[in-house]
Amino acid sequence: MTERPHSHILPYSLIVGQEDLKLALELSYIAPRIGGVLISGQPGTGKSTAARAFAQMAYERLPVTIPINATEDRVVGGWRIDELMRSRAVPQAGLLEEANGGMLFIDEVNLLDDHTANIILDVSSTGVLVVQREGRREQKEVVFTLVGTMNPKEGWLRPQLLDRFGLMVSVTAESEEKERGRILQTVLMFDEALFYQTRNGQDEPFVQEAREKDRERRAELQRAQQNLYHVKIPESVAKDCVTLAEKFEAQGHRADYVIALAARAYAALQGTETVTNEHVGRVARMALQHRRSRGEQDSVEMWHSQDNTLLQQCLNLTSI
Amino acid sequence: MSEPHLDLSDPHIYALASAALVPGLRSLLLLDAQPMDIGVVADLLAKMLVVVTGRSIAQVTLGSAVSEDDLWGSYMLSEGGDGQPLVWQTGLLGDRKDGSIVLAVIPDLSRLSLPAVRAGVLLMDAGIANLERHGQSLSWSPDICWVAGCSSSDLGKVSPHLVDRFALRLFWHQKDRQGRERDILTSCSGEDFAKKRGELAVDAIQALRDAALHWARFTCDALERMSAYFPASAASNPRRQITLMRLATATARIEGTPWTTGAHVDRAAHTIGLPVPMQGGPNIPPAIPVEPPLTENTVPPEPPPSVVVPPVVPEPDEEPTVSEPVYQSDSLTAFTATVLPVVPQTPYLEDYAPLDRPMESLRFPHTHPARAGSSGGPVVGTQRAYSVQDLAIVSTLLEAAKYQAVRRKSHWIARKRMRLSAADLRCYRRSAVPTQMLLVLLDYTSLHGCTWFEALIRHLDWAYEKHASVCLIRVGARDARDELRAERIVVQSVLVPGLSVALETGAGRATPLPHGLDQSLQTVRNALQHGRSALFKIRFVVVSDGRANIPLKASQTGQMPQRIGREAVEDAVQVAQGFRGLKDIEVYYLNPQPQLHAEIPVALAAALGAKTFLIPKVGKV
Repeated sequence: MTERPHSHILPYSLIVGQEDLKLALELSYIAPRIGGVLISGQPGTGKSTAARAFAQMAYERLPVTIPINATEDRVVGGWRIDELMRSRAVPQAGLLEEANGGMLFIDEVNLLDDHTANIILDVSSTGVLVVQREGRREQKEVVFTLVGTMNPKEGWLRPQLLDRFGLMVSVTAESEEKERGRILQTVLMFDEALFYQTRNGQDEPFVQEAREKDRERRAELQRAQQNLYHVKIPESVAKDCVTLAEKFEAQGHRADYVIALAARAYAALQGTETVTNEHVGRVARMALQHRRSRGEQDSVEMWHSQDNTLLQQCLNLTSI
Repeated sequence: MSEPHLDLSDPHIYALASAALVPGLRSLLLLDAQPMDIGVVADLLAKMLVVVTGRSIAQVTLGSAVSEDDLWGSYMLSEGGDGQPLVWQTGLLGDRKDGSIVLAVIPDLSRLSLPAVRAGVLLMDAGIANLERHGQSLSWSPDICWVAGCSSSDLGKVSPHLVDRFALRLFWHQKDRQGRERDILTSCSGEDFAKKRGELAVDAIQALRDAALHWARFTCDALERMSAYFPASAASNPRRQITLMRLATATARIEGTPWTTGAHVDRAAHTIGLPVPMQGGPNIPPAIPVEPPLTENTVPPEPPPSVVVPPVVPEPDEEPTVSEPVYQSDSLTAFTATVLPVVPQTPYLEDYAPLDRPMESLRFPHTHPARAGSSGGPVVGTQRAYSVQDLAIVSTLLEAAKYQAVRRKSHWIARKRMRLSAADLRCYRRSAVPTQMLLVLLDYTSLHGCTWFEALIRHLDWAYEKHASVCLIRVGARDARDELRAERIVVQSVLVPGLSVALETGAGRATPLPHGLDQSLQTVRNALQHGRSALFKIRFVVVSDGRANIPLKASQTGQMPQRIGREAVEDAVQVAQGFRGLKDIEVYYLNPQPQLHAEIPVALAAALGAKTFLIPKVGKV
């Protein structure tokens, strides 16, 4: 028999490294209006694992997932087909509605059908789901955190869809030998834990400890979420956010707002009362790199050392 | 006659046993295996999976025509008498309610349909699968074991995103001469692997059963040894390290030892063909678990051995022999040695395979809704239709059938007729098939000093704009396999990276232009006149100064004539005349303007009936 899905998901606190990725996901949880996270990287870097582990930790359930071959009726909603065939018209909520208030996850988002991508784009940009198909005419407000993964070698997203992701993280394989060793050990230990879990029906102690750490982290994130709007953003910081968007020639009108909001979420996570340029410096790259010109996106390295220099100059920081 | 038993001393059998034991290894890529071998491997693996898991196996075959509905499920007409007109039929890779393991067999990975390739990317090595189609909403842990075959020369045609997902790569046939000779002798003796459909040896079955019941924890020695195989400079993909360690763990479990040691890592590395590291790897932090697993049957193990026994590996290939040139050059100093691509000894051949696929090969081809289905390519699924072109009748009727009960209630007339609405219409989703072709004959020996690429680029732009396929006839390329013959390269799109590599090759010594023109003529005839080709137009571009020096007969026989006269040029003109009168082809001649014999390209262009364009010399653009 197939096991319950969540037993196959690595606990969030066991994920080694990938600090930017974890921070981006946490910020989008603390401030859902950031608008989600795009995780770009080569195969084998744990993008999907991290996203699912985060959802399980933060929302206590697996994310609502749109597979790349989802049909339109499941994305926007339709009728329950078994009931239809009994002459009863029973509506069936679509995935966009199911994700309301939580995370909407799209693995390999760049392989999504254009038609489905357009539907998601419409809903995520307006916050309104309009169902007008097969006799259904409804309109609902939905808010979700969009998290997508992609391998840039299989093609990029259109700028409109790219802009809907508030933050973007470029994931690379860990190069530090120590970290690589820890990743390998974690995977092998989790293999072993699954082996015994299948045989005994119980989590291994190290998995139980990790799940406890997950609960603690969720409590911290919830506290930061509650404090988000108590954190002040000085006018000078807001100005610097606008300057950054200008200097980095960010496309669209959301870059400066997302930088400010992400910095505020980061300050809330750090437990401080006021946003500083250090907070801005920590999150700026995530909000800017995918909003630059297309030529930059095509390059393997989307962020260069001179970008860090420019960032430091704009924010008057000595280091990033 | 009793069939021979298989035991775990055979590296291939051992690898299959490891895959049966460890779910993370249940994706095997058999390189250069015969189709019959793949079937045998699948049967054997199925038997091993039954021994290890005690579960039933559902074997499915995925080929070039499998569609999304085939893979994920669809509504079918009901055969029961429960009044339901349609029932949901689980797809080949869908969630099996009976708890069986799906064994997905792919005879040729390079010809797998696009929906199946996408499914492979989603499902292979995935902890969770999601189905959100046709009103069905399911989430499950996929239990799929993958066995695929692929020629190593075709790896460049497969998306690296998919190839990377395969945990194990097994070289099924020896590449070197001695290995090939052994293969032939084994086949002739009737002991070929394909003949061994017999049962596993009894002790192998027992070893598998025992291995399935216990775990073998890894030691610091094993981790250190692993890091020697993957030095920091090569650490690009953690999956490969994980695979090696999983295979080593399986080895230890099969041996019945409670610890996975460096020796197990070495055996695992030998099985998948990893080269032996020059020296031991640097230290990595001690493994967290240092105690054996606490189970009822745990016996305190002996300390793991610290001595690492290097596995036996084949000797490196001998130095390549240098063949004699087919004819003596006028100037020896003008030629440099051909640099052959260096293919390292590695199981990960995809890292070095020349790219032979379109960019973004995992995406469905974009089609405007109004023109959906107009490409004439093979069917890869169905989609909602916005016109009545290329309608998928059965899918449309099945879609409409869902709503008949409701629709009939609301319509007082024609209660027994099926009522269709525009929303029911479904059309075929088809693979993109080029309908036009750019055929380029490039004579590398005539390009020196002229701006040929600038002249050619407007035709490459045309191919890009028209989504045309490209056929490149290479004449006199430096890296030609046989300099007496022209070579043909066909790619689906001008964006295939291998095309630009092929264009940039330098000039060789011989100019088999008649053979190149003959190849071009054959290509045109095959493309436009044979079978159900979707092509309706070819643009033929010739870049040559016409000064051929290999007659057609020499190319066809492989025999160099004693002396070279005008025969090759005359052959070229004669073959060129074959293009005259062909329909649906437009011919362009790009003349590099040679200083000597400037009349030859003019005559050749006239024979072709081509529009001629002069290529400016470098510095005179």
